[in-house]
Amino acid sequence: MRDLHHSRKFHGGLKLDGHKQESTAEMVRTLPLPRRLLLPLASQAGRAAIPVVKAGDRVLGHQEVARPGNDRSCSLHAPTSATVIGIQCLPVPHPGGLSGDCLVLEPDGREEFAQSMPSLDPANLDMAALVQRVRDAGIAGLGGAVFPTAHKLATAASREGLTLVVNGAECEPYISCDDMLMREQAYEILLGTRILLNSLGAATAIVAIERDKHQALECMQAAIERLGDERIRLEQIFTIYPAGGERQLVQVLSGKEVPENGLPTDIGYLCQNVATLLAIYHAVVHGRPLVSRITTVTGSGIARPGNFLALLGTPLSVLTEAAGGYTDRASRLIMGGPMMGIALASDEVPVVKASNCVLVLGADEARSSGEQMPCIRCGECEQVCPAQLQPQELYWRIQGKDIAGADELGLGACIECGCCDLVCPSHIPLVQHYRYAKARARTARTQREQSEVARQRFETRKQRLEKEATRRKQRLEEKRKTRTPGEQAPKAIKGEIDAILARAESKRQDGKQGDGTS
Amino acid sequence: MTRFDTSGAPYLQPATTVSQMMSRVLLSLVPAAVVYTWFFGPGLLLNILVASGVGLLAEASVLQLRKKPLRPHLGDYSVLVTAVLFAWCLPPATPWWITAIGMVFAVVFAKHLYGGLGHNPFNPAMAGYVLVLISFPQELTRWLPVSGLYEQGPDALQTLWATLTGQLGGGLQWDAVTMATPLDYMKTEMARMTTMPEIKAHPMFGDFAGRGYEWVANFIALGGAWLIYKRVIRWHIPVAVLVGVLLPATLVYVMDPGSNGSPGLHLFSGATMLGAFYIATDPVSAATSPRGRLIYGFGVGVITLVVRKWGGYPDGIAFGVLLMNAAAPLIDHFTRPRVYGHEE
Repeated sequence: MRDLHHSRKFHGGLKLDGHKQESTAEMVRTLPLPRRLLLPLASQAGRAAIPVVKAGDRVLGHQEVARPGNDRSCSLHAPTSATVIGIQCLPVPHPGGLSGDCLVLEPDGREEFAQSMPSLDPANLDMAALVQRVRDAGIAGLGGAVFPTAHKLATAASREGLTLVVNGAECEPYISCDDMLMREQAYEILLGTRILLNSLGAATAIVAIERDKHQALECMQAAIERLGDERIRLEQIFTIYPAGGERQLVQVLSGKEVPENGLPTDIGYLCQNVATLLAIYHAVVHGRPLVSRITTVTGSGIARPGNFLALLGTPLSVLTEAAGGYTDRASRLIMGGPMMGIALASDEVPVVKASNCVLVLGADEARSSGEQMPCIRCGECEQVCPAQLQPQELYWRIQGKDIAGADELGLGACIECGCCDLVCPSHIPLVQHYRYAKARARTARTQREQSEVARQRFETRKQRLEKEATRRKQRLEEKRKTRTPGEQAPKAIKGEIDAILARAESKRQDGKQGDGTS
Repeated sequence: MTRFDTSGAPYLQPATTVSQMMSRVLLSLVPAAVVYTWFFGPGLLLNILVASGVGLLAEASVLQLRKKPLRPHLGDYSVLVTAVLFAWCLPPATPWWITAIGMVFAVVFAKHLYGGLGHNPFNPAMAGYVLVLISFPQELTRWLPVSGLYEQGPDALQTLWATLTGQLGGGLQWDAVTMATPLDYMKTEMARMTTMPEIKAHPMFGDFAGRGYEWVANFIALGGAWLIYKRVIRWHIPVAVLVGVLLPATLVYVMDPGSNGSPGLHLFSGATMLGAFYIATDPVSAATSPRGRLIYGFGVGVITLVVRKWGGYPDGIAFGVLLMNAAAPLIDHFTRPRVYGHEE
């Protein structure tokens, strides 16, 4: 086991109370088959998926029910055999609390599955075939960002000499689904890792796990020894939030920073979450699409916290019920962690690919929306910012409606980790300000780009018209030159020409037309 | 079906509050205040009482005028911190109206006319202090001797009387009971070409600085260290101020020990410690980036020593702080750290 001295640090970050042991006491539990499965069509990154079934259809488990809207969205598969009820607009996990189109399935309980995709040979799988299989299986990054894995792999395919980072750093408090996965399915995760290593032709895979995840470390180490693949090694990293963020993890492992507007692959690193690698393994070897995930249900608002293997589309109420229901203290329902998760109004929303955690915070644990004080410029936010920003300066600029100024100071580098919010003695919701400003900056940028396109089109047209005008002039000039001087048109012809001209003149005066460009 | 609150992330309770930070600042000054009172009588406490009362009143009135809620802004204790620091700069037994004028200026002009907490470019306590220092030069040099040095120091009742009326009761004369501070004495004697060893022979000097004053300074430094430990303040500014005082002080001392106070004397005299740990560290008016804070603090220290050695006043912390306050935005502009992933 490689040790700590190698593990570099990133700027700032927070040591947070992990609250992981509450949900790791028991093995991953299974759930009863829910009455309904709700599959939201919209995806985080790309266009909404397009349904390929209609109301009344009977679908088999693992059958594709919606295909990707574009290359940045994912296909959806029926988690189990079911009847399609239809498409309904229902509440979905969305930061703005919006509703969205969901494919509603009613499981028939027979659990019949479609014929699985053919198994591929993991040893001789070229990148294109792997990308295609990952796309067919509808796999998205299961760490929470749910970026389509096929797209990520496709952009990495052209890179040489990549190092694969197996992300087992689950840095947000309370969440333990990856921890449990590493304890229970370490070997399968490594098989997935090996598939990716082979296809990428990469020389190294680093499994990065925080030092306080003792059991996960032991299990992964044992699995590495069992697999005996020289290319895969384990690295312990410090437990500090947000070490699991791609950019921070790469910095911890390599000491290098991902360049502005760049990706980790730009500096030779490809990160994959452990659960994503397991999904890749199942897709390649068993031909199984992504239809379930492990979700942590925890917090002091939950009676019996734990991890559950949930079919995608399972309403959260099924999970909270299986976890013993709410306690009296339950005050906030969050999908994801307490730092970056999405606040939900009700537990009617379904488990999606991003649902790593259902967190129910007790009233005493949760932040109360109390009085906000003015910024006293204490600079605590600056001390904890992993992007090394000056959050206080960004905040002042945004308050002064100077979005462009904030953008100039590096607003785009903000990863919205929430560290600044947590340490702010004035309780200013900084991340909300940054999100708002980022959206504004994005809109401004699009507008700038659009007006630039319009300007270019206008200029091109002007040039074209000018060119045409000069060409016409030249032609006229040449014609005049070729006509021998003193040559007169015959009288008869001249009279005819005069008549035509007069006719044309009267016509022009009749129908006054606007088009002046001749 | 339960409906849950949907206000945004993060959801964990914040680590601290403004009022907690400010009350820790106040708490950390208690030991030093006890020591001060032990050596110089209850004058400081009276100053604090007057400054706090006037400060709270001024704050409340301005908040009322600005139609701001009273409770959260009075409850942030920032005005009390200003009051205590301002009061600490005044000689014990300063007449109450001088304290009141300085405090009203600090709260109304230096703080609220610029927008209140968080918006004042200048340290309010120092702005108030410099105002009264310039306006009441005589009263502001009436320092009391350390207890035990002379017999005729005013007792508690006489101090109270002096604070209330500006007059010493019981047939005492100001000239008889007041005494220059070590820095003041040094400045006057230096002008008379007295050498440093001769100056230090005066009984007002203790082990490394003024008797009494050196112990107050020790306890202030202790309180400051506790604040750093509790992360109310960061180490950058205090260390930079002390280095800023020490470096030039050592330089001139090495060059001419006969006519310069020792570095230790400068460190433990006047408001060096109070300035380094409590005044220059006021976050609102200081630079905010870590490198910026080092530059800012160093500037405060150097200016302090320059004023002490070549200026017209015995001490220069207030001027150092105010001048560097003015420079803070510029310093911040030029010391922005490189953002993650950005090139230099």
